[in-house]
Amino acid sequence: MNIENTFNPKRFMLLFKKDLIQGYRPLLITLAAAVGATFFLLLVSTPGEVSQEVHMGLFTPMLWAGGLIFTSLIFKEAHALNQIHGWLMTPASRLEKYLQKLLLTTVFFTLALIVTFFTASALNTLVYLLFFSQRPPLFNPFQSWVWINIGHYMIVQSIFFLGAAWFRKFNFVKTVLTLNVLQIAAALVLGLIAGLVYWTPIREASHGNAAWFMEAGQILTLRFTSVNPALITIGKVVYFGLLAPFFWIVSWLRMKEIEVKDGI
Amino acid sequence: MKTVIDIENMIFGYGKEPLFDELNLNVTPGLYGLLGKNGAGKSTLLKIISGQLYPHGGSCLTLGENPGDRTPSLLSRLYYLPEDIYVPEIKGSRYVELNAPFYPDFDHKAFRRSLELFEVTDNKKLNTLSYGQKKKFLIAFAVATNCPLILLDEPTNGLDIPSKSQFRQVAASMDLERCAVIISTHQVRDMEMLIDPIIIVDKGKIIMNKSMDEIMNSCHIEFQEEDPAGSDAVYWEKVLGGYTVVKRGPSEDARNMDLEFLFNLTIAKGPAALD
Repeated sequence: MNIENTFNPKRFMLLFKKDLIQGYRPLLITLAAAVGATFFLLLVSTPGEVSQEVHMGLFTPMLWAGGLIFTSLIFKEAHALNQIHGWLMTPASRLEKYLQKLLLTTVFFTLALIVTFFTASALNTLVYLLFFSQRPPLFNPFQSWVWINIGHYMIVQSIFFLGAAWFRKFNFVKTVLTLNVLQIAAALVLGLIAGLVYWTPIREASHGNAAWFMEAGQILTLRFTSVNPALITIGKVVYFGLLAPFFWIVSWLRMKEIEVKDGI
Repeated sequence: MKTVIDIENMIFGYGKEPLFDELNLNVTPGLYGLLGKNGAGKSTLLKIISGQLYPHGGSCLTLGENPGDRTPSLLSRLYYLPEDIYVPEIKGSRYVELNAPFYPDFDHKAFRRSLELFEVTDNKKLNTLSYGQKKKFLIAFAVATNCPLILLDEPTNGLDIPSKSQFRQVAASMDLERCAVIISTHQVRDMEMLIDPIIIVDKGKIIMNKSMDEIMNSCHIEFQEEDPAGSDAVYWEKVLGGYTVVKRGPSEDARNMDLEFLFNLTIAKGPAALD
């Protein structure tokens, strides 16, 4: 395998710069607008007693809604018939093109949001200091809730990243709908299993013998505190360590197969 | 001469019906015209050569590599200009600044020369230019990349009459000793006196891949007033005041060939008509 054909840092930086300026100029404008909007919202929502809850209330939806919508649009050019040629024919490797998209929607987006939010918060503080002689607290990006949110965002982002690579149109809506359908399917399967397992108490209850149902209800009461700690650890490892890489790898495999399918 | 494209027994189709059935093609440096009827697969062939579509069978080598791998080493030596172009919302000069570094042999002087010839500026945002101007800008960029393989899909579509002449000048200025340029077109009149050799694709195969010298040594065109039926003419079309006919053997005077007529002849009578 020729490493030069797989990853070249100089070429990767060129690609990042090209896509950022050429393809994501609207994003830069959006970020500038976000600074303005955040500044305005902080200004009107902090009449002299700014609390960190206000920061949390504004930062969290921006991270989740903004990040997931942005992620859903990241493969837009790969699905647009008049833009896909440019994307496929740019002299960069698949890995570079993939990493560029991934980094843009994870690291770059979160950093840009933190900087944007901090800037807006600093402007707000300055205005309050100058005009009202009050000193509202600055947004502190090192608080635990910021990074807990970012951690969860990275995991959910991977699902929307796959949705962006998979679907050709309406990626965000289709990903949300797919998740809902999967959720309903899982609930139906679990309901069916529960119905079969607890068929006797259900039948008895339907015949007016509630005692059976009460008894079964006690069986159904799960005590998570008494669950084997090893299971909890496994669950955490799967959620925090495996889920996102799994979806990123599937996205990578999906991206490798992208061709121009616009017919003759 | 060095082989730029080598396709052997290539199979490709969009549905169950195959578009290409064991297609063979060999391309060396030169300015090729790729002709074919609507739906014959000209654009598809260019996409397969450039690795944007994967063949279902046979082999395709572009500049010695499998184009489906789309390696940076191949992509930096290959430029593809699609029929439906897209330009970002940035100035032309910025576009060059961002995209030219991907092509190691990019010639900024040649780019400027072509722009001047096309009378297009790079100081305006590309999305504000007219369709023809956008196309000319991208043609100038393609030529300046100096790639050993340049694929142009219907480059003269949307160009006005003077621009077509300018295009011929720009295309003729390329180093065709080391570059292969394939121009897919159905506007053959725009390409007369420019493209040589000629590739004709029809019914899933390459039915002709010949230089103009080879073609003109095998047949010639004449005008005659009398009905050519029963004569030695292999093909004819009725025109005002008589017939344009094709006869075997080289022409003694004219060294030009009507490409549209040649195309119609090849499609109607098959490649054997020129043997």
